Amino acid sequence: MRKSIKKIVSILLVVVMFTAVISMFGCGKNDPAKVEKVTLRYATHYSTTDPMFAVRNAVIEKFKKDNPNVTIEDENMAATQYHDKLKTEIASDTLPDIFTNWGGSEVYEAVKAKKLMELTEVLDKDTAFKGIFLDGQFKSANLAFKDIEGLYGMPFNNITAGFYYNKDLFDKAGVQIPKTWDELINVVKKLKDTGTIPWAIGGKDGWRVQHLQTALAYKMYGTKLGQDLAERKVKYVDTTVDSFKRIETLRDLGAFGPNPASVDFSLEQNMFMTGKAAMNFSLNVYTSLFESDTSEIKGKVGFFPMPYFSEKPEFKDSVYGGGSVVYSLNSKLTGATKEAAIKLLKAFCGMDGQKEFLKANAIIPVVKITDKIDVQPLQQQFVDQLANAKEFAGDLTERDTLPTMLNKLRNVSVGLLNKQLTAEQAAQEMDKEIELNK
Amino acid sequence: MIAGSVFHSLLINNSWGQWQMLNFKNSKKIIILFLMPALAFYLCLEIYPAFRGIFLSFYKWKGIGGSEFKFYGLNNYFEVFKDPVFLLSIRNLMRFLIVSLITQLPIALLIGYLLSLGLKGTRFFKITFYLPMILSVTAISLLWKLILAANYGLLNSILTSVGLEGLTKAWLTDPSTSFNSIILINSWIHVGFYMVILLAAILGIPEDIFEALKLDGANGVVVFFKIIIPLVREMIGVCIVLIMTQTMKTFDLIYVLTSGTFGPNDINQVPIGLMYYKSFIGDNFGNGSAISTLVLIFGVTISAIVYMKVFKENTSN
Repeated sequence: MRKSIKKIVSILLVVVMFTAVISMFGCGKNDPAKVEKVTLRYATHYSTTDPMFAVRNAVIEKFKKDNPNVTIEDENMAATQYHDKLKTEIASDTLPDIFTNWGGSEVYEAVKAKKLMELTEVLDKDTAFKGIFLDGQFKSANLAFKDIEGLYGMPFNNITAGFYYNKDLFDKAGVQIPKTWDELINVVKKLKDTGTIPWAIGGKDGWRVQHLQTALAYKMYGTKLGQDLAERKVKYVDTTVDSFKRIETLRDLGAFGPNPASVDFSLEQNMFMTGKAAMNFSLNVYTSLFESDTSEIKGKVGFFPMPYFSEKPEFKDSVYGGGSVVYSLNSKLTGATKEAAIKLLKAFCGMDGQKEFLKANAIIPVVKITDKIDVQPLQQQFVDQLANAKEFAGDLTERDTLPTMLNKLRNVSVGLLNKQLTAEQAAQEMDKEIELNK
Repeated sequence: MIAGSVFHSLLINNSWGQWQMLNFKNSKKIIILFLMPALAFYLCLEIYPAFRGIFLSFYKWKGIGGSEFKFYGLNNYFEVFKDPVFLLSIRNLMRFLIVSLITQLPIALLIGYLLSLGLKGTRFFKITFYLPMILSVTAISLLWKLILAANYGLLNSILTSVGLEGLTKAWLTDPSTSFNSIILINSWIHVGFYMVILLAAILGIPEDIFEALKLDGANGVVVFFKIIIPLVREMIGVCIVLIMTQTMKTFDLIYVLTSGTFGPNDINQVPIGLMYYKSFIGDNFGNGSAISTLVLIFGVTISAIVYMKVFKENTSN
């Protein structure tokens, strides 16, 4: 009897011991059985030649390694198709869990319909993360919606545009960097005399001409123009005809070579990189491409800002640039999926991610980076341009709540370059679009 | 219950105790059952969206679940007709329809007739003419983009190399050539399809008619105009309807050739492109649906007129 009691007690002890050991294992933070498996749909808009694409992939790989419980469904496509995808997914209520976008009118209706997660809580819960961003970064026009409070996209990068130029071709033509519009016209004429295409522009892609138009408009009226147009305080026909006329002047001078409206963006870049064109007004993100081994003009590329108008010196430092891409989350996310998405968002917008992108000369960061990071001198000039700007803003239509305005501006800009419209008609078309959608 | 009765209709136990298939051509139940899946797909994917589109055309909706959805009466239609781009797209569509009919139908009929003569190499030509139809429209569009590119395109290179530099153009962006280029590419793609239909119709004409004509000494031209055209008239009617509906639906070809812009500055816009633009870029599904409803009404009306004309005359003949 005593023997059997002993046996029972010892069995019980063993059971208790096992239970304790197992529950101790259970307490372990790294117990894979306890970590919920999560799948995230992650969508971005990079072309495979974009310098950001490789860094993005590296960040994703690191994230996967650090978070083995998270499976990422990677959906990447070039920006042109991505815009369509985004609109379709908004309409069909199938937005990815985490995705890049440009804020502004493109997602305005989705924000209004509460399809995007409000991110103020993410910042408030992590003050260290909140503190790394540049002053005023959250006030960027693409994040501010006229009648909606809150934050619906985490800033990822800033952009700005300026002139890349071929130093050899400038020397050959005996011209210096132009500081004013008149000097720019002179440079164009002299470059043309040497048989070079002065300025490569991919007029087939509307955004190429629209960027130029917007940069010119800001040098004439300052960046407040965008806001005034969005609030319908001024009309396009009263404020933008001049900027369209300047493009007409350049076109008629032959600055862009023959048939600029049939040149697409890749041909534009090719013309500049093969030394067929002397200048290229473009975004900072292409510095590493122009200085890459595939570029025939490697080491010969310089930078200068958009020349100002001597009659408008007050807008000399009004620059086209500012907040660009943001990361947004689907408002339906909850629990572990939401946590994983926030983690991934921080991997891109946080300090470590931003440093990686800066090292690759792929972005102008949105955070205050105090470490010394070697950046290409060309990229640094773009960074300095934005840092020293008196004021800056993105697309002219950025604050507009009418979603077709950006497309319309691109369409009329191409129409102008293609001689389908005059400067006056281009501006009138913009006002007509507003009238039509009242 | 139905399945059980169908089973009994399909299989019967014959006098030797063996199961054997039954000829069920006359069994309505079975015919209906076999048509059901196709009907279900047709109702769900064609009829329902069409009626839903008509319904949406009377509402103001941004196309986002949860956004305002309010009755808007005929205002979407008024707005669409006020839009100069819509009027331009209608003009373009008319041009597209007329040029497509003028180019595709006679060429398809002529090629079909020539191939029906059984000349040497008929099979090769049949395959060659039909080939563009089986290729992806995107691939074809990219191919033509390369051929017609202003700066490095094949066509301009050929013209330059033969001393016709003055004829080179920016084919896809010059307003005087852009839309015509698109129409001709579309015709090039589809002519093979109509050729096959008309060839089949020509081959269906009884041989003795041709033999009788041969004896009478009729030449090829007479045969073509006096015999072929009247006898394949019904099939020509079918082709007209198919060409028109295909043309009205053309979206992908223009989208790729114009890099998604339908431009420059909307010069290549067609109603279907504008419907997409209004709905997905402009967040205005009401306007987009109004355009699709107008296209639907136009398509149905035109098809009905052509069918009535062709079949009525055939019946009276």
